[in-house]
Amino acid sequence: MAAAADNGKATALLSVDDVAVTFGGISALNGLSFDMQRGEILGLIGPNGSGKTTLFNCLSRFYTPSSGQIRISGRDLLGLRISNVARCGVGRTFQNVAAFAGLSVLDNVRIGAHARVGGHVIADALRLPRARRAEQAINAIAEALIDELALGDVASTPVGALPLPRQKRVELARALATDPQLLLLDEPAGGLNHEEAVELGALIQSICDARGISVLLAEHHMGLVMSISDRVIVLSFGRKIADGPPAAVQNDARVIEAYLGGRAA
Amino acid sequence: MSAVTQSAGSARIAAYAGVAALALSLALPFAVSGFVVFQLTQVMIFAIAILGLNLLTGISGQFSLGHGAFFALGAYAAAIAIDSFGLHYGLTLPLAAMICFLVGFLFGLPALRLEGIYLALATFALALATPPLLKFSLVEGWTGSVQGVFLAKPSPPFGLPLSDDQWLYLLTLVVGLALYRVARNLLDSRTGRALIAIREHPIAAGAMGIDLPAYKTLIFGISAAYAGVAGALSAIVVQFVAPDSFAFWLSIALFVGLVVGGVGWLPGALLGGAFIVFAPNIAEGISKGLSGALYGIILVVLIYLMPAGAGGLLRRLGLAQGPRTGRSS
Repeated sequence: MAAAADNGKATALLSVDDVAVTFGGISALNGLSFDMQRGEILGLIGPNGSGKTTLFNCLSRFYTPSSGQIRISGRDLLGLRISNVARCGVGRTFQNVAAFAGLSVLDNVRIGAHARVGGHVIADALRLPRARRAEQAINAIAEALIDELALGDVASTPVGALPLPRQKRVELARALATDPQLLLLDEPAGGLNHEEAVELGALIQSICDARGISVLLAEHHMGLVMSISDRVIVLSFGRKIADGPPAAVQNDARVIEAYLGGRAA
Repeated sequence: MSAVTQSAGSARIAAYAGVAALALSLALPFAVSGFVVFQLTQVMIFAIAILGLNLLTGISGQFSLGHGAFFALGAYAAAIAIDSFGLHYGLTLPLAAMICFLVGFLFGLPALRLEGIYLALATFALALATPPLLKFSLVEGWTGSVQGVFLAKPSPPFGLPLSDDQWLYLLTLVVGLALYRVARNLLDSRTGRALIAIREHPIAAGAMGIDLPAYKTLIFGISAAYAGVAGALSAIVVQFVAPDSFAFWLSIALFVGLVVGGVGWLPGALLGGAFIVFAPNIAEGISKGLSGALYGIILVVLIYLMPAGAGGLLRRLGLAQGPRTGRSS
């Protein structure tokens, strides 16, 4: 599934280069570098506090690294405003579900399509033909995703009233509505049981295959990460300690130490 | 969109209620005395200002205790345009809207750094600053300082067989309905959803590509424009503006009207307007000396009976729209 890795940095979808983030003297990320190719599912694992969510928040522009470079499709991501990140093809979900809890499933997914369909406040205020066409386009996007992710039965239910696994699925639908090239999934299997996690893995894989998009998957559920990732990166205390195919990473001595709390290598 | 978030039954009820309310509001000025027509016009004027406040607070989740300032600005813009520049009173409405949009938008820029109660305090400062600024000697030539500006009452155009009060009532009704339609359109659009998303979860809204600063300042401007149009109508209908008509109590009254009508429920604006106009009268009717205390009691009882305002009560009874326009937690 991974695109040829020998295309190198020039065509990498995402290129993270020597990124460091510090919070009041504490180093959350330190010299992190990696590339992601189009169509790749990249697993990101590491103990709690190892910097996974910090990396995600850099990619969403919520944090600005103290040093380093991030490029998306060759563009300087760190030069973008938060609201332009989605337009550059980065969609995401959140670790603790950040759905618009009071809004219906349909409205959540429609908001995901916000940046994809242009619009103007005056056209909206006067409901000009242009605004109606935008509304139709948004509805078509949202309804297709709701069908694809089997959320039709709860389309008009407020998301906050749904069980956690379905809320996570709404978040996934909302992220897909932004039409991402790179989908950031922050612990999508958190709170899911084994069967649900297996099902989620198959879903992520089919989404990725159908759209040819890349997925950066931060996850603690090893079964899920190892079964669907093309490649796995391991973080520990903000540093990358391993990067390779799932099988190789699983047997890496440093990774085992990081997880089992052994003496640092 | 309403088909999805609102059951077909309550949509039908809302449609019937709308038609009935429209028929009633068209018939009313011909059935009651001139003074009551004047009072009802004022109810609608306050409702327009509350509608604007509701777009800001109920939809985008920003607080303002200073909308009286935009109301005053609109009123003075209209009064000065008529009195000093001879502008037709009808044209003062778009003028007041534009001026207040601009000022609201500009005020929204520093307000971006403030959230919740801090924003409420900053806007309250605006309300406190308004009367002294209107009395300020540099602008005295236009504002007439403490004396204010007197205006002539406009007569119905085209020789329509209406009294002046009836004409102003109908003018206010048409303007109010148009502004209500615009507010509804906004709410049910991409823009409206972006604003609600900002209220519900600003971080997630940003990740969806919603430009928070742009939308927050935009809705501040639009909200101020509503208050400005209301102010301009007020100047025309009352035929008089003076600094002390726009003391900070006006901002508080608009906020109270918003809460009584229901934060996030647009038709509640009309009930809020009625509360502003009639609650002090009712309190005074019961006891002149204790009117302030009685006003407080009426307010407390209403909040106790309808903690989420009239809109919240109707929602509980299944007669109004669901959580989409509901109050944020």
